[in-house]
Amino acid sequence: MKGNQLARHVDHLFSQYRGSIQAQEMKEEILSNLEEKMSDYIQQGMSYGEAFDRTIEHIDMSAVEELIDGNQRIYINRYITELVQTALIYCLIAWILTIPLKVMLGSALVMFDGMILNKIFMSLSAVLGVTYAAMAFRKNEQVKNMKAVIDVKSILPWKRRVWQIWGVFIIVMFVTNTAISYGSNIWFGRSIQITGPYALAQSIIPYLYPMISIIIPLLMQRACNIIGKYEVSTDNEKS
Amino acid sequence: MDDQHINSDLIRGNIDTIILGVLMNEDNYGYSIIKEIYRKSGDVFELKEPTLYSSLRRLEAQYWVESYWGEQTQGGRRKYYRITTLGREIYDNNFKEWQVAKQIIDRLIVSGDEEREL
Repeated sequence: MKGNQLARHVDHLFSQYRGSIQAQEMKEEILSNLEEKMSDYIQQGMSYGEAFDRTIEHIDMSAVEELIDGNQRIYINRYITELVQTALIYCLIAWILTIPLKVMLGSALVMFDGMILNKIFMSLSAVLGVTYAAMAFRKNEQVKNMKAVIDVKSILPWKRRVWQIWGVFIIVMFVTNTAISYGSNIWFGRSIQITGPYALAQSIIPYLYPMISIIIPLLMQRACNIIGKYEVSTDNEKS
Repeated sequence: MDDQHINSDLIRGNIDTIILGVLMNEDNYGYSIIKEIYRKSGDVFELKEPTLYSSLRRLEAQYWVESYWGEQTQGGRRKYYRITTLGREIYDNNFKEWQVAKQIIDRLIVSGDEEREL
């Protein structure tokens, strides 16, 4: 029971860093050292309370934050391989989703040619496919297990920023689409007429296709979330 | 040694070398390194954890020491540190540099008062 108070305290100090293997290793190391320090104090005759206070007095949250400096060593090539794989999947899906756009020509899509969009995703898929194949089938162990240090603290804020930028982009596209497609109708007070299902589709599509760009924030999200997966730790270290 | 005259900053400035020195004799782990330094100092210098761990990380990042997990104790496994060949070279080099610096500073810091000359 008594040991738990120290464990809980250290747990609290590291509460922000649950996802990081390196942080958890540091926590284990610090806790084992503090436990021994505390039991030494108690053996010397200190009361539990005093021993506890003296044990934890130098390690506080800001000390922990400085020790976890945001630089993580990861298996960089494996990480990039997975990222390329994710990008490939997203592009393939986007390619498939834009196939119907090929038949909607010119005026239906206010700003982009559906054919071109489809071709872009097709080419991207091809490039990513080749890149992924080259990476995934690498034989050289040393290259596969290559490590690098990345500054996680400067990457993570971009997860939110990219979503925000994307949100603004979508809003701008929506507003522009509305203005161009229905601007004159709205201006002159004419009612907007939808003459049938195809026309309905034609009016909705320009609003939907900019959403394909969601693959960018999704990819960014993925890039941030899989960092922990490729961390190098004392246990899994491979050369 | 007079407790009041200890300038921790001066000691901390050399902490990497001091820890390497501890590890030159045998592998060691966090709390035990603190105890050893305390003992070596004549029971006057208590190395604080943040200084210890940031030093160990620095040493490890430059491959002057390597770490490995030891036995399970209360609170988790112990992390041991072993000095590398490169670390031994660095220690020897830093030790010599300190000897030289110590001599020079000793000479420079005297004010001409004979009592203070060493």
